Amino acid sequence: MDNHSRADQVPAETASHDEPLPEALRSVAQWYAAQPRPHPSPEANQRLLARVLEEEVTVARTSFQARSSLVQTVRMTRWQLHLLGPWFWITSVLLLLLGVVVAPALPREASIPMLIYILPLTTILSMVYALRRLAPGLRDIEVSSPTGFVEMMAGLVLALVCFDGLLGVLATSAIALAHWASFRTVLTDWLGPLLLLVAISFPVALRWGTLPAMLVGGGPWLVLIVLAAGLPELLPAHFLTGTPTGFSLAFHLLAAGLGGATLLLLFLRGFTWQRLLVHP
Amino acid sequence: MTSDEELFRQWQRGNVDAFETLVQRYQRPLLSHLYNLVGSAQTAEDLVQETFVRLVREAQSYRYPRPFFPWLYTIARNLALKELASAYHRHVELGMAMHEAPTRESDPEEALERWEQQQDLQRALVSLSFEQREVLSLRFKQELSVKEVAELLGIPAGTVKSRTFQALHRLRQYLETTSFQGGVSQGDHTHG
Repeated sequence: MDNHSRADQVPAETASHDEPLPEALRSVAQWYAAQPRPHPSPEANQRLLARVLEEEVTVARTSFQARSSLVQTVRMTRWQLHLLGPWFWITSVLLLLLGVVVAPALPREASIPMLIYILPLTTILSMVYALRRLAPGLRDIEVSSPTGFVEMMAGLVLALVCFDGLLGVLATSAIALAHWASFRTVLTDWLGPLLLLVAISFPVALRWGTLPAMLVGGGPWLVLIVLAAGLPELLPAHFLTGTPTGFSLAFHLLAAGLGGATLLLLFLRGFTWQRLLVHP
Repeated sequence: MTSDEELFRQWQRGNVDAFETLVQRYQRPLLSHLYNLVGSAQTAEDLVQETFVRLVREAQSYRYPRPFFPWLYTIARNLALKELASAYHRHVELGMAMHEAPTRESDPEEALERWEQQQDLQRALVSLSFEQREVLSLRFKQELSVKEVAELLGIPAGTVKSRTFQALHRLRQYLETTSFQGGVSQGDHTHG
């Protein structure tokens, strides 16, 4: 119950100023107005918003017009981004800002690979967190109305990719300025793996769950990082080091194109693969 | 401050924050109002949620600048009536929060006192009709004028006044005949 309700501050006379009450009844009205009121908890607030989202999704899915609308998918995505909560975004920004500040201060041979290693991993982890947090409630709706789920989740993942990408561009700019490195090379070196790994792990997350997605997306990348750090002779020269070579540029551009196209396709035409991708 | 109607229109156009603002604006007063109608904090919380869900469900029928507040409270009222009718058929006694535990507060004695006050209020409200509880809540908890209540409920202002008087009179009688008669003066003392 709320012990600091408005009634505690506003006397009952104010509430009933247009209606003079007899003295005896006024004291009863004051007593009534001064009684404590229930106060919604933050959890109740979250439950309410989540329930409203579910309802909005249900309403959207029962309407063909809404289902076929890209605007509606974007709207659903915005709801989901909203439900991730402010701390998700605050933490992400703080971590990346830390990267922007720390990376240029490190030697060139350490800062560039660090950025290239960390950004794809961060995005995969963000995606896994977001899907784990939001998917279960939406899956329940999926049972009753199997439309649009893949598009919505792809929208969420694309938004996370754009967010991490934007912060990555900032970090890349800082590094490029600090070390006179090639902006384009460093950018493609992390953007290619980021998009490809996310595009691979996202359908896995939808079909088999977030843990397999993390293993499929993050596992090979971790192996590559270990190899690049410990046994660089096993990898092509200058691979994942931000050094401009024709091979790495072509490879990373291809990876970025494939990954980006897959994510866009899932966002725009996810319904086509709905039954295949969504966990039974 | 952006009007409720404008916020709802913004939400219809895809602004998620607008709906959250509406929730923040009305969740608490609606909870208080429904609590006074059904007498159970848990049921009132469920009804608040259901009210907002109904808003979403009926959103397509909303045409700006239809007044938002009466629409919201009418939905809540209908849900409360339905819940009370359902509780009656299930032989569940609403309007009494006897089983609800006192909330956590820093001072246990204060918490207990608050809880006892709540029990007093619920016992007293049970003696009133739904319409009387509704008018009391709108007038003295939601702090609406007689005219506003009349418009909201679609009844003459005279009816609002008579219901208010009847309800307060009945409450007074109830308080006088029970052991917590001191509750009124205590309320005056505490908040006066």
